[in-house]
Amino acid sequence: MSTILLETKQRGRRVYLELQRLAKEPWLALSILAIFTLLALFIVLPLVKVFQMSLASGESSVAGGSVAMYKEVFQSWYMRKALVNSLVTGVLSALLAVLVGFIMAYTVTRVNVPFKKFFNLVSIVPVISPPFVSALSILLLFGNNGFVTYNLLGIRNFPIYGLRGLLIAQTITFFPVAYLSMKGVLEAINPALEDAAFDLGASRWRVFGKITLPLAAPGIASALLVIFIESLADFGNPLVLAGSNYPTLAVQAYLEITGMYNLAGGAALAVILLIPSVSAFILQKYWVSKKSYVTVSGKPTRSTVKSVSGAMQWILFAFCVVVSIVVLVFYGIIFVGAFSRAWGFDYSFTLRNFSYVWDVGYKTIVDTVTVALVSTPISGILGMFIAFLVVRRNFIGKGLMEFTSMLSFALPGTVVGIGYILAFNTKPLLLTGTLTILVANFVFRYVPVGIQNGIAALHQIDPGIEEAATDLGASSQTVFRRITLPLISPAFFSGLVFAFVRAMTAISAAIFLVSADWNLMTVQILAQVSSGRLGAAAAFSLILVGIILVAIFIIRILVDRLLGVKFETRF
Amino acid sequence: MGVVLKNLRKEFESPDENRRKVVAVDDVSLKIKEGELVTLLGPSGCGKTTALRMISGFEIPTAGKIFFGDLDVTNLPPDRRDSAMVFQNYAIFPHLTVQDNVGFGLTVRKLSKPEIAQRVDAILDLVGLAGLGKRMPDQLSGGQQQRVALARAIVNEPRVLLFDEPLSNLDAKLREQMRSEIRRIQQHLGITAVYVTHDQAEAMAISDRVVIMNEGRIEQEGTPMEIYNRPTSAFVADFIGKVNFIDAEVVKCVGNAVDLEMWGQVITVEHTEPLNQGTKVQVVLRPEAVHLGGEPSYATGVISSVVYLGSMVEYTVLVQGTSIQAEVSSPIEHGIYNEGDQVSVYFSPKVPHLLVK
Ligand SMILES: Nc1ncnc2c1ncn2[C@@H]1O[C@H](COP(=O)(O)OP(=O)(O)O)[C@@H](O)[C@H]1O
Ligand SMILES: [Mg+2]
Repeated sequence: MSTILLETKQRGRRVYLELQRLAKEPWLALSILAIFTLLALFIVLPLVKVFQMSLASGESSVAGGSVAMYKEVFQSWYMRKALVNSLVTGVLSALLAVLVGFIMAYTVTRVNVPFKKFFNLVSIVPVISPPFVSALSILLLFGNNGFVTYNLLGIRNFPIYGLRGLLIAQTITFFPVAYLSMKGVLEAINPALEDAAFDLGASRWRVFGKITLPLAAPGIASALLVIFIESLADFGNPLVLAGSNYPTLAVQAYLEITGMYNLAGGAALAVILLIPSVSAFILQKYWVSKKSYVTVSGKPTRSTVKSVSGAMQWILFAFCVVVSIVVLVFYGIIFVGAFSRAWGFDYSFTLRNFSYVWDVGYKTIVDTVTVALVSTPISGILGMFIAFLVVRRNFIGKGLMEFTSMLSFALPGTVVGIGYILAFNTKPLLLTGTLTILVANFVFRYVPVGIQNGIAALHQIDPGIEEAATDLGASSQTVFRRITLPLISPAFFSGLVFAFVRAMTAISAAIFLVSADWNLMTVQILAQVSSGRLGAAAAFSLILVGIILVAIFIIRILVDRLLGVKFETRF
Repeated sequence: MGVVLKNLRKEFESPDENRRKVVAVDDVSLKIKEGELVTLLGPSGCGKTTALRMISGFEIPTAGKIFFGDLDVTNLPPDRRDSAMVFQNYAIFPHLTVQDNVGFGLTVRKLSKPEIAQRVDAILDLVGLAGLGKRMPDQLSGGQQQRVALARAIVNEPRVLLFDEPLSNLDAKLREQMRSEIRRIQQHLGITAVYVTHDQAEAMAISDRVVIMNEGRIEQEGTPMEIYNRPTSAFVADFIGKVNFIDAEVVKCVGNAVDLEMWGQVITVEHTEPLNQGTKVQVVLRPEAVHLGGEPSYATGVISSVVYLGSMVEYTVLVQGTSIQAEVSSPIEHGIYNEGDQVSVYFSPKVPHLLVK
């Protein structure tokens, strides 16, 4: 009994000392407080609102304590089907994308084949384009007037809508995620381990099965879960490709709200969507990532032992070539589509699509770029700062801050979108239809990636370097600005790029938040696709990708200038 | 400015699952005088770094107090303390030039540019890096990086200088050179210094006073000579240099002369404190104090191993069933015994130190 008392007393004293110390750094204390407020406001509050609304009783759309809405949802076979479809698509997409990503990553890291740089580049392309561009490509290739189906094969109504088309689109969209993480994992496996196994007389298959694969297993599991989450949350591809015969949760939630004005029903669907997503997230973060054998540090040293036989080498190479061709065709077709007069009938060159886009979309383009320009620096700096706090500072609620800020990664955009319109539609938080709500959405939805990059980068940097700066009299903010940020500038750069790309390309939450005053290009592209103007959609997409490429270039220069770090001389 | 540690204690929660408490520093009290260089010496994990980090402000003590002069700094953050630390792996800012590294503390204090430049130059001169100010850290050798770390710490003119194993990344030759350099600069500036190391030779060479730590506690403090010749525990004797422990029993004690029953006979040695008859003691005998093959002789032993080290020979000698280590310097002059040779064993009555069991 008395020991417990003593423990509590000691803990109390520790908390008191921490507080005392924070009080000596008011700037730090204030920013921690500010971040908590923002996280509560823009991540927790919308989530709470969605839960509340989903418990609204029946018709009235008044928040209450009834599960009527869930009953209704589960009684409808169509909604049950949506749930099953979402889960099935998520699982299959994850498996396919990881399979493709793993094979490519294995080939690039372990097999002696030409064009490795090229394969690498191809895998980056889908990362910087709107997530449903592959859906658009599928329509251009296999749709009613599809180039392959209609022009080449003469089939008019090829059944591309539904699971099949959706899987192709999602695999192409998400395999780069798997590729990049699998590449990291495979590079980090100490080649000496594989060499040692060869040395002990193991065959190639044995080395692969007993050494490489088990060592990569946690990484594979983690990639599977991440893509499962992304697939569940995917909105653009299913909206374009699934059709009414293949309902999915994210799309149904959207239609329920915008089509039927059934906020409670939409919210209930959102909550149902949330459950597998958050479960996968927690599994990934607290179980799989703890099992990893691979330390992220260490330079990749390439072993000279051949990991595969000659025949296998060429099979793998052929696989990579095919994947690359598919990716290039998928994105090339957008290019062709943007400059073609009438898809399926008249492929002559025209700039008509662009002038049309310019006429209807000029303001949207300006809006989109504005939103992206405002949210990018906020997201980038916030991400690095939260990473800095989490890794380098001790304060009460640190774990909570990390969890909450990372949580939004697991929240499907649909859930966030619904949450935002519920949370910010009355005074004093009347934000609907403003720039602020769009910026807040993008900042808090995509900051987890920055945080994660920042945390990983910080773990590579000797904390002594920052301590030395503190020791020399620098306050927390000086240390962060003059030492930490320049040292993690690669993570900062990629955080900024990611923030910008997502602000330009994301749709699932934003579609709930756009207004006449502030519209976004992705929403417009989707509208063009829905009304069958594929050429205009393609032109729009092309402009979007162009803006992104220019922005990446500018961000790179700015980061180097501002932090005084030369890009080439990264340590 | 002197530094006083009062009953310092630091507990950590162990990072593994069970969250056991680890006591890293346990009731450490120490007075360091102005201008003195004190080393904290002990095996890895004994709490040296933790003690140093509490002095510098990177860890808050679980209990106890720290004073710089009369000022209680226990809860003052590192940037408010008048101390500067030289880190084990230098912790040089890799993205800044040598002069920006050294001048960092001055820019933080918002000194004017010319003044910073002038002070940085002076310090670079002092540490022997004149002319290298424009280099990036990765263009420096290990020893030069070490000098940058030192320059960066002293340019702020701190009142207390802290070192955490500053030389452990250097090769043996450079280590010896740098340690006398550090000592020279510390004395030149007259700055109070706490120096952490696990290398006993380094501690002996550099310190005014050595503090031996073990499992978070202070085992013994004293001048290098006291520590080496009059260790108060077997741990200290064993940690500082090589040592033989020989069991013995007090037969008689008159004044400074103690008659010991050891090696099957009575041997008289000097000891300052009175001991009761029948007290069991350990005789602490350094290998270099053991004389072989001369007169007089206490016992006869058999050489059981010979290690030739150039400047000396290390012998293991079996005496009355126990082995003892002996070192004989200038082997050419004294000749070398072979395994199996019979030799007489002797030591001067002045040298052994007695530990009561
Ligand atoms: N931040 C920490 N968290 C938990 N345990 C720690 C921490 N820092 C040090 N320790 C533990 O405290 C003890 C003393 O460590 P340290 O002061 O680094 O020893 P030394 O510098 O003498 O090698 C060790 O057992 C170490 O594992
Ligand atoms: Mg240490």
